[in-house]
Amino acid sequence: MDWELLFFLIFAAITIAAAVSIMFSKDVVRSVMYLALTFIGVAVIFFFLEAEYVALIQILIYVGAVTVLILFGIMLTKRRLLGGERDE
Amino acid sequence: MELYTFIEGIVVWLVSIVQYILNVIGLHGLADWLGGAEIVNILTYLGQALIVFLVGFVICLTMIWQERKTLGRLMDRRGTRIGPLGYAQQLADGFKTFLKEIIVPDKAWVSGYNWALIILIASSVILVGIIPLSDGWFLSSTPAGLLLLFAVFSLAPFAILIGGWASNNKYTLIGGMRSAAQLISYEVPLLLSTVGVILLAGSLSFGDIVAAQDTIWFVIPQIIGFIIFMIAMNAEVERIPFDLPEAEAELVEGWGTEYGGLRFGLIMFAEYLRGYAGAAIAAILFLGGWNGPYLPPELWLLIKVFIIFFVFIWIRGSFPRVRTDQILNIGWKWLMPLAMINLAIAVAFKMLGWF
Repeated sequence: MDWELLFFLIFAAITIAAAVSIMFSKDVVRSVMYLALTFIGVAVIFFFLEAEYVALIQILIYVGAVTVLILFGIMLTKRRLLGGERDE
Repeated sequence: MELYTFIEGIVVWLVSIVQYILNVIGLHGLADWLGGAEIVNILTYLGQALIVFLVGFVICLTMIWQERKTLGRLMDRRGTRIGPLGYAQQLADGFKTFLKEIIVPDKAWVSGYNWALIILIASSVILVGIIPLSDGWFLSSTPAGLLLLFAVFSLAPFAILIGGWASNNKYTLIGGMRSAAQLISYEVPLLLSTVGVILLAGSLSFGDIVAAQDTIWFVIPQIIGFIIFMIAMNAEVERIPFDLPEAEAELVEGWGTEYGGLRFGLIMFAEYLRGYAGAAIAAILFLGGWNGPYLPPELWLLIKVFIIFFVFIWIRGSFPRVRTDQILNIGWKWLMPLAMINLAIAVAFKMLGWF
């Protein structure tokens, strides 16, 4: 059994599943969490391609900054807390 | 001393004992499998991980003790008193968090609430594995070690934001938002201030950066970068002048309000792990890392780490907390241009051929 192929397939499956979950989840914040998982999956695939630098930059920029920026943007818009009253 | 070879010796010795017992029982196949090179290698890595984690754990406990004693002295009191020099107080407090009931808020988004904590603690513990204590004492040494460290460092605000959201409480939500606001203000100057050092050393690996400081510490040509790095690192590890996400005077416990019991203890533990990582990275980048005469290199790095952490505590005891809008001003109007000037200085030194 080729271990590298097996792990590649597992991580590719996780990445695709997370990417599909972004579309189908009802809550925007959960979508962002799946987005972060997708980015991490892509970074792991870069690791398998032996592109260490690109993978680390992917985690640093996309998971560390872009996701946080998107979450920040979501939270600055007017919306209610989970299951609570609408903030007016 | 090479940590790997040391642990390998212990593992080989232990495996030989187990093999002897198995041979006496009659399980010869299992004994041969256990003695194979692959199994010994895996066991050695596990042992190495355990040792590195335990050392990080003890350093953390010592840092908490140092912080409480030093803050006590800064405030003209004695600090912790239990045990020799007050050291046992941390153990007592840590044990106390084990005994508390764990309460999950009723209307929280439970999976997000748990996963945020897992991401935060895992990323903090990974930091300890990345930091080398000397050129023999490390868990991983990739050529891009510094980049890996900052990549792992930048995961925590994401976890804080998710945790603050999932707790479903206004205080935690405000804490999480402040964490994001803090991230976008300090992350750019922090990375820019390290670029000067990377340029002068010509490498991203810790070993090469320390080796490049053999003759002169980078704190001398890069003094502006060092000051920016210390300020931005204070914001990164969320210590007092920049602890907006858990401003206990304004927001009960900030983003961690709903985390109780052992979870609270683990959050504090992760915070000090990050403090240790921040101090160690400052020592490696600017203060010559494990270079030093007479004493073993690991000890030299730890001495520098504790000196830098003392400066962190000193800052904590001296300055009031900044406001959210102030930290954006500090990050973008002051630290960012200064980091650019620092980078220009580094380029000038490199062009003159001094490094």
